[in-house]
Order: sequence, then C-alpha cells, then structure tokens
Amino acid sequence: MAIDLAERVEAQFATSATSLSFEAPYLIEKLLADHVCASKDEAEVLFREVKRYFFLNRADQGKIWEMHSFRIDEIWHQFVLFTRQYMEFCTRYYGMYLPHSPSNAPEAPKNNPTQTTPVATFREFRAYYEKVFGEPLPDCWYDERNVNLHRRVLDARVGRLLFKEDGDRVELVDGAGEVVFSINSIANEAMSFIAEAGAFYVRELPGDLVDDEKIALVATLVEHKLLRLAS
Amino acid sequence: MARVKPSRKGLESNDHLQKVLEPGEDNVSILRGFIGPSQRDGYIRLFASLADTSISVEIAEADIVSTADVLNNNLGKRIVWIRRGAQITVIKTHTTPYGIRPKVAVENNMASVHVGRLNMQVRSAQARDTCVSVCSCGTCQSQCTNVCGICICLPATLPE
Repeated sequence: MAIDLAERVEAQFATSATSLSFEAPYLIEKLLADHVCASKDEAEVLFREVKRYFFLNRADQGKIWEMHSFRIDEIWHQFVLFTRQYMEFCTRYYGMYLPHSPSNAPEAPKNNPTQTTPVATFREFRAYYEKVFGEPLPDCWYDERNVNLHRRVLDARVGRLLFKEDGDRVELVDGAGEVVFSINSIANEAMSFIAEAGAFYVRELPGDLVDDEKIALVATLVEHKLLRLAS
Repeated sequence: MARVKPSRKGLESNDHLQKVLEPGEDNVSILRGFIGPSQRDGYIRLFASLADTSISVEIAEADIVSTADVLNNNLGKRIVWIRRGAQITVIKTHTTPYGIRPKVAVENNMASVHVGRLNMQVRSAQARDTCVSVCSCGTCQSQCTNVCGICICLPATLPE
C-alpha cells in the first residue's frame, strides 16, 4: 500500500516534470500581439518561468510558494485566459486545476482549520529554485530589474507616509517618526509627483532627472515595496 | 528677519515666498498633508492621508510659516512650511517626538543607494523579504504573507 503511494507520487512527479517542455504557441502569439512582451524570446523565457513556478509549487507542498514576480504573474494571467488549454495543461501534468488567486482573495474554508501551511520567503524560494534547476534565479523574478521608462507603477505605500522636505533632502517618514526613505533634493520634483500620483509611467517623472536616474529611483522604491509594478 | 527691498519696477513678490523667507533662508522645512484639528490649543494636526488617519503630526501654529494648496490635489492637501527646529510630534498609537532619535542611529539602519546624481537611503528593514502587510495602517510590516497585489497558487485548495 505504502509502496503503491510512493510509486504514484513518483509517477506524478515525473509527469509534472514533463510539463517544463510544454509549448503554447497561441500564448506566445497573444503576448506579442498585446505587447505584453517585446520579443518572442522574452515571451518564451517568461512562460518557461511560469511552468517552473508551477513545478516548484507542486513538488513541495509543505510550504506556500508565492508568486514574487509581477512580470511572470502577468504571463500566468494570460495563460489562464486560454481557459480550455489551461485546464487541460493542469489536468494532464498535475492531475488537478492549479488555482490562481489574488493575494487578497477571501480565504477558502480549510479541511482542517488548525493546520496552517508556512509561507516561504523570497530567499527560500530563490534557494529552492536554484537547487532544483541548478541555475541562478533569472532577472525576471526581480520586479525592480524590470523597471523601464514605459513601465507603469502604482503607489504601494508612499502616499501613506509623511512627505518632508528638509534642507537638501526629501524624506518619507512613517508613523513612528522614522525615516523610511530619503533622497537628495535633486529628486524633489519627482518625489513630490510620486507622493501625489496614485499611478504613473516612469517616463512621466518631472524635474531634472535623466532617464537612468528616473529608472533607478523607481526601481529602488519598487524593490523596497514603496511602489509596485502595474499592468 | 530678512530685509526686503521693494522692486523698482513695482513687481509684486510671491506672498508665500516672502513669508517663507522671513525666518531666514534655509530656516524652514516643508511638510505635506491634510490639516485637521488638534485637542491642544494653538496646535493643528497634519494627516498624511485621508484614508488613513492613524498617522499625523501635531504642529504649533506659531511654528507655521506659511501654507499653500498642493497642486492638482482637489481633496485639500496642503503644503505647510514650518520653522526648522520646530517641535513637531508624530502621533500614532503612541507619541514619538520627531527628531529625538540620534541621526547616526537612523543612518546605521539605512542602506545607501547611489546612482548617477542620486543619493538614496532606504531603511534596511524594508528589504525584499519584508513586505507591507495588508493592514491599512500603512506603517506596520510583517513577513511576506502575500506579495502585495500579486497572486498565489494555493496548495491543496481542492477537496481531496
């Protein structure tokens, strides 16, 4: 009986592993047509990461492995839109539908309410990924490395912090009176704009910053969860 | 007080600028927020957000040099110029005098990022594995139980 179960688990694992070579030309075509991706290569890489994420997620169910990348999540959304193909993919390789839930979705009732699954941190995810696939976690998993002038970003926290201009620095101060973020006053105009705008494109930042500085400023704020990428 | 010479051509100075220059150049700081009432006489409270009233600072009216509307904010957000060194108190669930913490201690807790002419400092605790929680207070943090606004693939959500 136990051997049966082990064999079944192993067989399921082998089947899931074959999902990594699954191809979806219709999805790649849509990603290019909708300008979600700039090139076929980029689309292929991002879809590969979606499949790897699924595989990792199911291979170790002892933890909740969160989706850490806005870009890869975006590709997952597009895949789900091909409802029939997505369901067939899930059933064929994982034996079940892989549910896709926004992080604020109402919690589903649990079979055992006392049982809680620990949530893996980003560091744990990165280590797990690198162990399984034997290569460093690609850049597309880091949102801050995917900021460019044409990227739209949303306020994640900036608007709820006190904005303080003090001499040669602009500071964002939290409720404990501590400075969360500080920058020299060359970014004053850009920071005022960020503090007021709920959503904006990186290229829209006003002031004297050159393009690389606009990108660096937004990337830093994204990395530290003060802003987040938007679709 | 700075001495003000009248323009020979009769050009009017900007009212705000004139008030802001009164304490002397570089002797003012600027805060932005929504002005609300304080329980203390002679004070106002400045709220960072209308949606989140848990964070505010209390400022003595005597320390306010000038105020003006924030451009393109039709909800009444104001720019408030205050005398540098004014005692302002951050109010949350507890009261912390702003600026009491030694600057060195704060800087030790900050990571520096230099790009081009930008010199940024970010609180170290804001690192990747820490995420702003869904709590609406806007200041508390927790280990990432969900990546803000992004999706998760929940294990075993289907009946077995």
